[in-house]
Amino acid sequence: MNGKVLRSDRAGGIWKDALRRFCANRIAVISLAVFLLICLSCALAPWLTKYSYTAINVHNTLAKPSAEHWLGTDNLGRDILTRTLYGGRMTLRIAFASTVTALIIGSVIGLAAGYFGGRFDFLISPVMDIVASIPVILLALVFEAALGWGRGNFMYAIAIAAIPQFARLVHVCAASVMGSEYIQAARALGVGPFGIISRHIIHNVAPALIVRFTGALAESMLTCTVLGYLSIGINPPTPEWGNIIYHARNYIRLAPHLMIIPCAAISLTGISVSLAGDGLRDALDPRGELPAARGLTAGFLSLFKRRGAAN
Amino acid sequence: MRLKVARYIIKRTLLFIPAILVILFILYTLIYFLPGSRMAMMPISRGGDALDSLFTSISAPDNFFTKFVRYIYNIIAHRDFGRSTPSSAGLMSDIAYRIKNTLLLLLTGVGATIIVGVPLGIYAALRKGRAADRVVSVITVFLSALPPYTVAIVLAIVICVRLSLLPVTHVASDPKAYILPTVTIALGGIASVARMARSSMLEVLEQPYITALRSKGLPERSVILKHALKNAMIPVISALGGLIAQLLCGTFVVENFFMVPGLGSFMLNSLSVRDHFEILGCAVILIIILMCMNLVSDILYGFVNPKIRLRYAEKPARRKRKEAAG
Repeated sequence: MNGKVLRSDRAGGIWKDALRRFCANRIAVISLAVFLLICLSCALAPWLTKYSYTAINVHNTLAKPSAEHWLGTDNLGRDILTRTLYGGRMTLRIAFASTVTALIIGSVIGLAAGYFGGRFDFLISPVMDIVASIPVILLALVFEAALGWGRGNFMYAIAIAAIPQFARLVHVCAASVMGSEYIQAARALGVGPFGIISRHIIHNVAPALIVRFTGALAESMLTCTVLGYLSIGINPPTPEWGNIIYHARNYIRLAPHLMIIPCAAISLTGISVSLAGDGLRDALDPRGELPAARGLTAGFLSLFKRRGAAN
Repeated sequence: MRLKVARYIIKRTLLFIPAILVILFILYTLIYFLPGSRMAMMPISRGGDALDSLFTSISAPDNFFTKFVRYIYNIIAHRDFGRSTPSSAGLMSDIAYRIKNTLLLLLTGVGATIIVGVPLGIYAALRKGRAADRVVSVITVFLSALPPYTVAIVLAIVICVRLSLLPVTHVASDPKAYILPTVTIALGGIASVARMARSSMLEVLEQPYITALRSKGLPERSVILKHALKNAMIPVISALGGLIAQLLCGTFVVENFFMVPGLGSFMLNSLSVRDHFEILGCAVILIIILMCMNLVSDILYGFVNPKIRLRYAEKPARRKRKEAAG
C-alpha cells in the first residue's frame, strides 16, 4: 500500500515536471492548441456546418467566399468549408487509426525483443529491417489491389509501414533498461516479466514513444493525403484532403482557393503536430538523453553504441 | 583488411536473398488470395521447360505453393514477371522504358536531396543556436509538412506558366524537363536529411576526440571536413535505404503530375483496370531494384564504419587465434 503511494508520487513528479516545461514553451503550447482545434472541428463537422458534403448546387459553382458559404463553393457548388472539415475527419481518422495500430503492434514486438532478447531479437530485427525497406506506396497499391479499391484498405499499408520505427525504438529503450541494476534487483526479488515490463520498462519507454508518435502521426497523415491525391485512397464523393486537392487542381487558375484551403489545412496540421512534438521532446527529455528523441537515426546510433559497448 | 571487406560484402549479399524471397512471398500471398483474383485461376507456366516437366512428372497439384515456386523460377530463369492481360508480350518488355524513367527520377531526386540536405544540416549544426540554425529549422519544419503535390503545383504555375522558363510536361529528349520533377522529389527529402545531418554532426562535435584535435591546434576547417564529417555521415548513409523508399512516394506523385511515362503511372493505371498480374510484377521489380540499392548503401555503410565490418569478421578472427594457439 505504502509502496504504491510512493511510486505514483514519483511518476506524477516526472510527468508534472514535463508538463511544467511544456507549458513554458509558448510555440509548443500554441501548436498543440491549433492541432487540437483542428481535430475538434473536424470531429464536430456534422454540428458545425449546415451543408452536406455531397449536396451539389449547379447554380452556384466556384463561388468566392461569402456569408452563406464562408470559404466559397467548388466546381459542383458544394460548400468548401464543409468538405474540408469532413475531409479532415477522414484523413485524421485514418492517420490516428493507422498510427495507433502501429504503436501497439510495434511496442509489443519491441518489448518482446528487448525483454527476451537472444533468439527472438535475432529473428525480429531482420524482419523489421525487411518491412522498413518496403516503400509504403507499393504496399498500399498491393493492399488496394488485394482487398478492394477505394474502401480505405491502404490504411493497413500505412500501419504496417509504421510498425518498424516503433518496434526499433521500444526495442532499443527496453534493451538499455534491461541492462540496469534495478532490473536485476527486481528480478532477484522475484518480479515476473509482466511486472518488470509494466512497472519499469513502460515508464522508461513512454516519453520516447510519445515523441515518436507525433512524428509518425504527421507522416501517416501526409502519406494518406498523397495516396488520396494519386486516387489510391478514398474514392470521391467522400471527401479526403488528398482527393479534394486532386479534383481542385483542374480549377487552379479559375478558383485557386479550391486548392489552397485543403493544402493550408494539411500544412497547418503537419506543422502544428511537428512543432508540438518538438516541444514534447524538449519537455520530456530536457538533457537530450532519449535514444529516439531525434528520430530514427539516433535509434540506429544507440543500437550500434550498445553493441559496441558489449564488444 | 581486403579479406574482411570481401567477407562483409558476401555476408550482406547472402542476407539479402532471403529478405527478397520473404517480401515476394508476402506480396504473392496477398494478391493470390484476394477475392476474384485471376491469379488462382490462371496457370503460370511457359510450357516445355525443365521445371514444368518436373511438375508434370511428379503430377504435383496446381496449388498455391507450386505456383509460387514456378513464379520465382520464371523470374530467376527467364526474367519473366508474368504477363499483363491486354498485351501478349511479357510484362518486362512492356515496362522496360518506364523503369528507366522512374529510376532516373528517383536517383536524381536522391542525389539532389543529399547534395542540398547534408550541407544544410552541417551548416545549421556549426551555427547551433544562432539565427542561421533557426532559419534552417523553420525551413525544414515547413518542408516536411508540405505535401509533394502542393510543391509541384506551385512550382509549375510560377515557373512554367507565369515565367515560362521550363516545360510543364515531360519531354524525354529535353534535359530541362527533369529540373522541376527533381526539385519536387528532393524537397520532401531535404528536410529529413538536413535534420539528420544536423543532429549527428552535433553529436560528433561533442566527442572528446574533436576537443583533442582542436586543442592540438588543428584549423577548424580541417577538424570539421576531415575528421568530424566522416563520422557524422554514418547515420545519414545508414538511413539512405529508408530515404529511397520515402522518395518513391514523391516520384509517383511527380510522374502523375508532370506526365512522365514511368512505373508509377503504369501501376496506377493497372490498379484502375484491376490487373493484378501487372501490379504484382511491377511491385516485385521495383522492390528488387530498391533492395539492390539498399544493399549498395549497406555495403557503403560498412566501408565508412569500420566497427560494422569488424563485427562481421569477428568469428573467423577468433578461429585464427585458436589455430595460432594450437
